[in-house]
Amino acid sequence: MLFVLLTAPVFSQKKYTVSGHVTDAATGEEQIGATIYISELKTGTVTNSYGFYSITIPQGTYHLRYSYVGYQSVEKEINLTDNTVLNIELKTLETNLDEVVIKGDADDANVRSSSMGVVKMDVKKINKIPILFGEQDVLKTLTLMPGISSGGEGKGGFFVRGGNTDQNLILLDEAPVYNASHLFGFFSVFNSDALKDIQLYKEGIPAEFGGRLSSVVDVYMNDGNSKKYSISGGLGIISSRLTLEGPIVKDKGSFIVSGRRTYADLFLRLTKKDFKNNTLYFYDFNAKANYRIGKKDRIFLSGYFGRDKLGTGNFGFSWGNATGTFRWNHIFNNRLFSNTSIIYSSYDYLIKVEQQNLKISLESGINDWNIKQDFTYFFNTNNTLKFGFNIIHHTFMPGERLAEGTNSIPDIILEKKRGYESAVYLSNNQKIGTRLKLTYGFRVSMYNSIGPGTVYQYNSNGGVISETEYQSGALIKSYFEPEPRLSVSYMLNETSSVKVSYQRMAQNVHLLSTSTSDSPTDVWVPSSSIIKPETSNQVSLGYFRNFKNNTFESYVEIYYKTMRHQIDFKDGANIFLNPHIEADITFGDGRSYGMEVFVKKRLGKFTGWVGYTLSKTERLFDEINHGNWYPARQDRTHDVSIVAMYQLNKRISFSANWIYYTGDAVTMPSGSYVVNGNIVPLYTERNGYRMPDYHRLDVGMTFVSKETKKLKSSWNFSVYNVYARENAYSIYFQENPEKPGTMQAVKLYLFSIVPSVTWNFKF
Amino acid sequence: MKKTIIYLSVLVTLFFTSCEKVIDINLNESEPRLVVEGAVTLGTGPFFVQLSTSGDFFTGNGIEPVSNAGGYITNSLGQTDTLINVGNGLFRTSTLQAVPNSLYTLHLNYNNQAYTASDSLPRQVLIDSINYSVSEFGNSGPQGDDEYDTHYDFHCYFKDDPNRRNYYLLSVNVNGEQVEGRRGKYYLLSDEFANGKHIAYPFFGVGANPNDTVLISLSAVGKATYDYFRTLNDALSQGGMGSTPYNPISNVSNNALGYFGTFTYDSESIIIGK
Repeated sequence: MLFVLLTAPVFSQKKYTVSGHVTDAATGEEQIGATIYISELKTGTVTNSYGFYSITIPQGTYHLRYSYVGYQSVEKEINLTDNTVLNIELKTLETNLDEVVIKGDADDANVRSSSMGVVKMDVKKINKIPILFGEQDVLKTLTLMPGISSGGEGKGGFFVRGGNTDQNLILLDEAPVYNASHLFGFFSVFNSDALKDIQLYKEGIPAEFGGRLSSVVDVYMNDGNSKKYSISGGLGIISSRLTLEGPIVKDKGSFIVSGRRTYADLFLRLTKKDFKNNTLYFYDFNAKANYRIGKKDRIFLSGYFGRDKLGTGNFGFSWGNATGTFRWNHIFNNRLFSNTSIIYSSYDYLIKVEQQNLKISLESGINDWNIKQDFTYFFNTNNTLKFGFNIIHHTFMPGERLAEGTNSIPDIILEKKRGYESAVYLSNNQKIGTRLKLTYGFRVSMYNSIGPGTVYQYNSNGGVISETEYQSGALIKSYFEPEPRLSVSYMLNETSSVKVSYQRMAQNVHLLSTSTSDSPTDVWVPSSSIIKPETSNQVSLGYFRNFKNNTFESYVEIYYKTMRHQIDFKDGANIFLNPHIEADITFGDGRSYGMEVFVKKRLGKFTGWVGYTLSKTERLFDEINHGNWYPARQDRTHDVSIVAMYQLNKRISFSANWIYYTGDAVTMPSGSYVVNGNIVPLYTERNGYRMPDYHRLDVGMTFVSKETKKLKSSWNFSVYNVYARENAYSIYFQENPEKPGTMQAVKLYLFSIVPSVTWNFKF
Repeated sequence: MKKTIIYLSVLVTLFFTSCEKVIDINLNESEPRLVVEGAVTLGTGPFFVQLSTSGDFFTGNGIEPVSNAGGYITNSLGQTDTLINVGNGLFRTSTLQAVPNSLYTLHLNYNNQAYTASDSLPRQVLIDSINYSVSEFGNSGPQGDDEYDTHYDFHCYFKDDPNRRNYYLLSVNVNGEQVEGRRGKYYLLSDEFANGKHIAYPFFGVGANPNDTVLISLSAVGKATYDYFRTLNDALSQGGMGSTPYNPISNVSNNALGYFGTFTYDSESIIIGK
């Protein structure tokens, strides 16, 4: 059927292809998602993740306009008589801020693009949004968009349309990042200095992505300046950053290395005696190099390594991710683009206790090798095909505890688990007429659990009823999941469109967390004979409209999502070093529905947006809440974000944001009783209570110092939580010291008002 | 380990100048439920069962002894003993013997509702020896922050029975005061990873002064008893940033709370030298 659609338009004219790369004129960085518009044909295309575009059009003379958000558009006239390579460099707008802004056709991408639910963040722009300790954080900024809600202050992760935090696929240069939080969620692992582009898909997810139910966060690292060497960095109250980049061979290859380390503990050691023996810091290291081999090939090597370290006296606790990506771009011809990636990804944590001769260590982690092949075939002006495959080899290490110098603590080594997660996909981006755009695709994902390993079956009480040994390489269990994807947009007129999308997603790696917030010790486990793949279905409908010559963009969307084979724990489950963890898991369903409203002012001195989400998210488990639907912890009825930025002049800009959301659903006691002299709380329903509503205002100011020939620098001042709202981190109960035998509720809050200052430089 | 993580994350929040404040919260009321605390302990008896009701969370109003109930305890040897009401919610047996390796079942009748609970009594496990050394953890150890200058690590040595799965409840008392465990109030162990081994159970960082008497006790307990105390530990330590809270896993049927447990008992004491 696909081919019938593809071959339907018949042209008698001779056709040629224009292709090439779109890059930043100053740094040589490829532009992802830059648009190319041909006014004569009223059609166009966009660059892919490697800045490559290709469009096939009839012989003739055309004006091609290249545009990209924040850059000056470039128009080229070509007389097309043969296949042509046209590489374009775009200059940033920032240097000519006072000049009249040239508006490209990309300005109405909100309305025109077939994709819905794609959030694209300009990493340079978000630097102006005020944030805690002045520490830029792309993941935190994403949560200012409708449908994406923060995991909470000091809690890791984020929720997309009612999904759990482990249902977001976070990719850094295609490598999955298994734990994107530093310091229990105060910061994300992404150092914005090293990033180029970030896109989040929450619906109509393209068929090239899969493996998680709720969203894909696709993060691209900078390639490095291919024109000249530069050093940039920042000094903040909590961390410092340094980035070095430059050409390997000018315009042929470049590299970038970027590092960041926090030093809060160093200061605290000076001020408070109690912290003398404690360590608490994290660091990140990003590196990337690329090189062009001839005109058709380019290779990239990129990596990330980051670690948190925490210690007190004899305890040591560290955790972190490592990723590595080798990529090879090959242009087979001007219509067929290929990328081959070999990807490594790992996450682990290690806890050590040392006391004289006694050494105890506890370790757990996950380790992936991944091969990915993607093709983009620019079939004609109306059809762009993407197809490819992906095979991930997972090794899960559920946990090991080793003790030296004692026989009081037995060694525990849980069996490693292995599996192949693979997928093939085909998708097409199609235009029909001038009003209708479609992206449709199909992905088939497969999970194979393989030996060696022991597979247990359990009775309803968690007792082992059978035990089967599998040899190395033996197939234990296979799952297939079909994943159709569709998004359609129909232009009602020049300024408005209606979009609809459907997606089915499957997930074969699952994060087990007994804690209500993300913790470094959460354990990833694969699908198995007991744990079935999680699946979800989602439909969305949206109305998109731009106003005032694209100065404002807006949309209203509604969505409905169902989730199957969701995971929770039976009461009393222990995830630490438990070989029978699967007996402690219970399975259920989820649903989430809601409405999202977004209005953004994108041009002018005053910019910003308002996002509002009204939603409901529930879970249904036979063994929880007496088998009745109950609100998920992330069920937030109202979620509001307001972001405002004002550019006073070339050097001074102000920003502010205000956040409000309904408090998390939590379980609190509805009674108490006495056992062995202890007052024991009595719980009657799951998540039947609410935390107090969360709200907060932050303000910031950026001051760009006078530029000298060598040095560019800026100061960023921000105040977090301006009106010192004491937002509850948690609520717990304790015996009232004044009235023994009675209880009282205690709210723990982390921050009142937090000012910070950061100095950023580049030379 | 969970406790350690919570401890460390509290440390992180301390770095960020966290604060606490007593607040008012409205909690729902719940129907009063029957609470059972019953035990069969190796020895001659009598065995006691305490009954009460649950009440209001903040004030404890409604937590009352239950005297208008009746019942009996049976064992798998076919013996039955009717409970005698001794007042104030307390009931006792008169003739029943505790025999290792037999299953004990409590039958209760309260407000025209029947309740049962059972667990099997394990074989006794004796302490081989106990000892102590000055703790390396000092005041920053798991107990930490008490009035003692010196903290000790105690070990309790015993041999696990290899022929069955065993569950233990241990405790440490300093001058008659019970010291809370690392993972909650009760020290617990299952032999899942130490079946048939010589076990040296550690009590880390216990604060004590010279000349203090330290008593360590070891009870082999039934599985249901172990599960109850394990999950009671969770229920008592919740707050802060723990897991979703839940009621301890009770072995009493019909939605009642509490436990009917089976215990053996052995103890050793030691006086701290100067």
